[in-house]
Amino acid sequence: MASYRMNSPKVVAETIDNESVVINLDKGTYYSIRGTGSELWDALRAGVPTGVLLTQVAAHAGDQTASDTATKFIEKLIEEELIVPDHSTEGSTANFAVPYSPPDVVKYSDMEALLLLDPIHDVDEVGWPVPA
Amino acid sequence: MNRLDAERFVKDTLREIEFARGGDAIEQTYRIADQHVVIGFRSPKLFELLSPSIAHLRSDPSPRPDLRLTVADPAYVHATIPALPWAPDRYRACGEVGGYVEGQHYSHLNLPMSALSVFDETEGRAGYWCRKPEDLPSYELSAPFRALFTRFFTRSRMMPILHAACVARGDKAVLIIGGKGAGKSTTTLSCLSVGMGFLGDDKIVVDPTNLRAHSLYCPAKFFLADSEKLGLGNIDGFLRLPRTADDRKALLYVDRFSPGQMVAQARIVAILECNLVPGEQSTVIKSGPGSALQLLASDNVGMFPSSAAATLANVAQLCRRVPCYRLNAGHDRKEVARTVARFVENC
Repeated sequence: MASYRMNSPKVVAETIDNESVVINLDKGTYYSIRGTGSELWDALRAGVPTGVLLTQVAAHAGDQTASDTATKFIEKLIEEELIVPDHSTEGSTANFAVPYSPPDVVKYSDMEALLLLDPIHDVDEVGWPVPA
Repeated sequence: MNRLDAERFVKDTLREIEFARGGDAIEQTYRIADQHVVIGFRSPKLFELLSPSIAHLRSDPSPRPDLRLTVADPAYVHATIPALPWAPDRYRACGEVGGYVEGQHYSHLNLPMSALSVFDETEGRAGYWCRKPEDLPSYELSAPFRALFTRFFTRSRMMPILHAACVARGDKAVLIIGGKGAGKSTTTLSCLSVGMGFLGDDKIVVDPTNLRAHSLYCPAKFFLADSEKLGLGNIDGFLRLPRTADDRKALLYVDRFSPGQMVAQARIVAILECNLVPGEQSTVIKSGPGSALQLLASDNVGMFPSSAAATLANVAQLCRRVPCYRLNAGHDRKEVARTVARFVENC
């Protein structure tokens, strides 16, 4: 069964009251994850294997298709490079405390302009960029 | 180009800024968030431009400053700044340089301002080298040394500098947060007009452990076209007008305009998420910490990525401990201010 960890240091995250804010500093994107998604996120960060998670989330939702939704959610986290495979730590179980809601990741790109710069092509003799 | 490593570049640059031949320093001590910061201005021009924004925090000299910053420019100091050692693809738009910010030796280059900042965290020494003081934009005049201060307060002292306004009644302060155009500055200036204390309108040092807000910069920014509506009376003698075509806001030096309303620090009793609404009425309603966390994170964390993890952790701690509200600010600015004042009194 696969386990993951948060892709630090390029990803930072905090969770309050089942709302997680996740930031990819390399891309300048941030993500909002709420409800069951936030609980899944915290469990993934803690190294809970995906097989355990999918079984647990389906039981929590009372619906076997919830594991498919959770699988897509995890795939999205991988695609956005927010988590990476890791077998060094392994959490045992997730803690689902809030009523089930389909997990989802909302992506925002507001910070891109802060982090991504047009390539600099010209520098002067002491290395200072020459204004275009 | 001879590529120096981060430590050597910072040390060599600092030595030049501090000791190269040139004018004597105008040395001032400031007490910022309970830290003693000594700034040696080796440029009268930079002293004139940058020191007014922190003048309200001047203090007696300290024998053991927490941070010693030297400020210089080529017109007064004949420094031979080392060639910038990093490759052009290392720049980030925010001015941090990949590979030169991760350890204890920090470099930051603000391209539009031609200003290089270096910081040796192990020794508590920093340097600020500005190639063209005449080109400094209003945002640097209103909030100087932001990269250095962010690094120092956020990483060394675990007190992030947040994009927020802050007003107070007595020792009770509220942080006013919101993105661009959310009405933070206008609300803050309106609060001045009803006699509230002022800690800042854009950048506040926050201590999430002790729940204290600390003033950092004293100017308030506003659109000149709005000056009549602010209800502050004659402010002409306390202004700095926009310097360049790109600057859109004037600066009001609150410490000179109304010294009695400047507050150095106060206890944070609430976070207000500012939101402009139609109509005259203003209201404050309870909201959750998640919304404040998301707003503060998106607004602050990307500015200086090397301090991102510390900033986010501290912001989360703050949001967990302080009640969060939404301020629905209507058109009537006096009413907005009275609403905030009543709210703070009742906290």
